[in-house]
Amino acid sequence: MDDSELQLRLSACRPNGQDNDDPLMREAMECLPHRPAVMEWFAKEQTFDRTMCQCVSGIAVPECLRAEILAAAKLSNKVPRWQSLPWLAAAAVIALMGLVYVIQVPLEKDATLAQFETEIVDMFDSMKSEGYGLEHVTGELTNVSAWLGNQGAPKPYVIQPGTKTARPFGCRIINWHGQKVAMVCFGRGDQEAHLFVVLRESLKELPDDLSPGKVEHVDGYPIAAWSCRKCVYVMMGNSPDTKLEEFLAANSSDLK
Amino acid sequence: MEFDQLVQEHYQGLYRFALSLAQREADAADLTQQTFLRWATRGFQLRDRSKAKTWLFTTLYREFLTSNRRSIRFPHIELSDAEPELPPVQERTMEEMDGHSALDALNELDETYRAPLMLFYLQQHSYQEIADILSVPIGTVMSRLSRGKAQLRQKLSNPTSETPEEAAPVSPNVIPFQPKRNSRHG
Repeated sequence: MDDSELQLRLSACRPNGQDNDDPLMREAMECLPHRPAVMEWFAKEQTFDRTMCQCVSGIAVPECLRAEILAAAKLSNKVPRWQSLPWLAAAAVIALMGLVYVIQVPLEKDATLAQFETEIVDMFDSMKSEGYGLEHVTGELTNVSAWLGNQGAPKPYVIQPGTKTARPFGCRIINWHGQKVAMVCFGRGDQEAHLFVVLRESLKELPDDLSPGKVEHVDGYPIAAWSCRKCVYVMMGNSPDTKLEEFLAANSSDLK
Repeated sequence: MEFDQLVQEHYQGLYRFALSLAQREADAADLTQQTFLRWATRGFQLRDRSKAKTWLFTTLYREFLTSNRRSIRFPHIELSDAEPELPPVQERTMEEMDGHSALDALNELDETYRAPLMLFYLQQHSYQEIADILSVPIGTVMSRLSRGKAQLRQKLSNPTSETPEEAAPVSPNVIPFQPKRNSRHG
């Protein structure tokens, strides 16, 4: 092994002894007593590396990141045990395809907003026990919109002031009567709320006075709805106790 | 709980690695979250739990590459190609190095060198694990670490220099790093 190869190998040796038992490194280090110039180079190299390691370990990590990762994981689907068994998974996929073929209801554009809200709440109830299955986890609303746009789902163009100051956890797409409905999850302090966006054309008999300031209760969950030119937005609290108003109003004086 | 423990052990290292790749805090946080989401949904596929750390860093790196939608082709440099290009460590660099300038210099490096160097300086990975994470041969990892450190030192010793080529050698024995012009590179 010549000096250059020795140096190249030792360049990959971590500076705090983690690689001392590695055969390649041990072989290289055993050569050092006979190569004083390389030994001197190696000592300086390790000092440089130690300094860089200290710099890297000093990079600040956002304080809330760990809590956000754990919160987002709670919102994701846990994969059932049976899915890790290939033959059962294959059988389940075949059965599911058959089921989808049989029961897939062609879009009937005659659902009212009230029906949509009720079905969303039912769907949400089952999600709560199984996990929300977020398909895209992100802390930025622009990333949420970009991802939903790429998937051909309605995007949250019009959100309320209180939601703007909330942090999104991520989003997923729900298939509702063959229509793509976007679901975006938000956290604000210890409160969580979920925004569902559906194309306006999917609903009939929309009330003229859809106002986000008006919070109603469906199966105990607080719900508010509003619309823009193209989309209808339904926001619901994560639990009956969620203070949904905080996600809607600009500040506490706006709360009713 | 296994997941909580995994997060506790690796989220900081993953975030720092992500930050070195994405160079934007919000994107780094997203990449870190997305990686753990992948674990939450697909982690069961990994039979050897001792490889969870490598799995997480590999997944994050792939997420980054996917999110950037770039087809990066790294030139594989054999050990013998890089041999004559090893510069010595300069005393002046060490004396003048401070945390901020060191990190700035690291961030200025090409991603080809930044990624293995960051993994190396995180100290959590051996060179074999770095090779696994980046999907490159061990020899390539060694040469990238060596060349990356050479670039880093040049940036630290001569921060005004735009490119390594502009920095004059301080000794006739120092051969400045010259990236190989390779048609496969990016």
